[in-house]
Amino acid sequence: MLSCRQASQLLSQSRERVLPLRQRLGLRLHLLLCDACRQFASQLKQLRRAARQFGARIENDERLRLSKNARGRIAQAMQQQVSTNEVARQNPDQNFEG
Amino acid sequence: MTLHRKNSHDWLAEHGDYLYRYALARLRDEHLAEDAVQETLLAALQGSGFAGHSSPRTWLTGILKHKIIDQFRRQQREVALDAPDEVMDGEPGMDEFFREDGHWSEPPQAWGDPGSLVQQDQFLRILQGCLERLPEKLARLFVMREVVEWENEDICKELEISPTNSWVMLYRARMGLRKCIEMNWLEAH
Repeated sequence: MLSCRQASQLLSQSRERVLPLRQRLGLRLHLLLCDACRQFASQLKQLRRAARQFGARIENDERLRLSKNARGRIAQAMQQQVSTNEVARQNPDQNFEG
Repeated sequence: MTLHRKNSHDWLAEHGDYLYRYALARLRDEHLAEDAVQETLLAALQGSGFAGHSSPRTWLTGILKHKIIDQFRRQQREVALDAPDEVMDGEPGMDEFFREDGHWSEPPQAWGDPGSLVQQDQFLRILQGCLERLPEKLARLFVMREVVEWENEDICKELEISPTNSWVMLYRARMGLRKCIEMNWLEAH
């Protein structure tokens, strides 16, 4: 019989790989008999669901924006890159870095 | 293909914030997210251009994904040098969760389902707090697997870790998060 400790490991692993048949059966039997581990299994599911929402929530939060400083920094860096590209374009025979 | 000045300003104005949020959701750090956006836009300017892709945003996001992977790789390597003990065979540290006979020291309680949007929001905020309390390397791996939703195979390939390594770390991350969330969630309810 699996211990709760072993069952918890298998439950976690089952998210990343298909368990060998023997372990799968052992786990299923354990879950039939153990409230605590059934609770754990359900919580793993909730955790996974929340994690997925977590990313989406940040992605969709339009209040989150580049700070003015960051925006300025990036714009400047882009401007420099455009200039470098221009110079390189006008002097195709010369070597330029970056 | 020449890229006109107008285009580059458009990208930042039209897609900057979106790219930033995309990066922030995965890197969970404002400065790192800013850097990733900058690297993305610069790479976009250096490249051969946008022609032939589905949309500028999709194209830029593709570049950003690679920059994020690079950042993950860099971070995992850094932590590996500092704390080689974090990567271990067994599950040390799991002793606090289980008794000697293999039973839970504190059996998981029922959480109920966060029903209302307010509750869901609260749950996610607790998750965020608990992620911050996890050891960095574990938190990051958890994010890659469960937030960014990469396959374990790809994570292992990118970070150059073994599947076993990954399972152990994900297990520890989940155990730590579950416990932390339970404590905070039940306290609020």
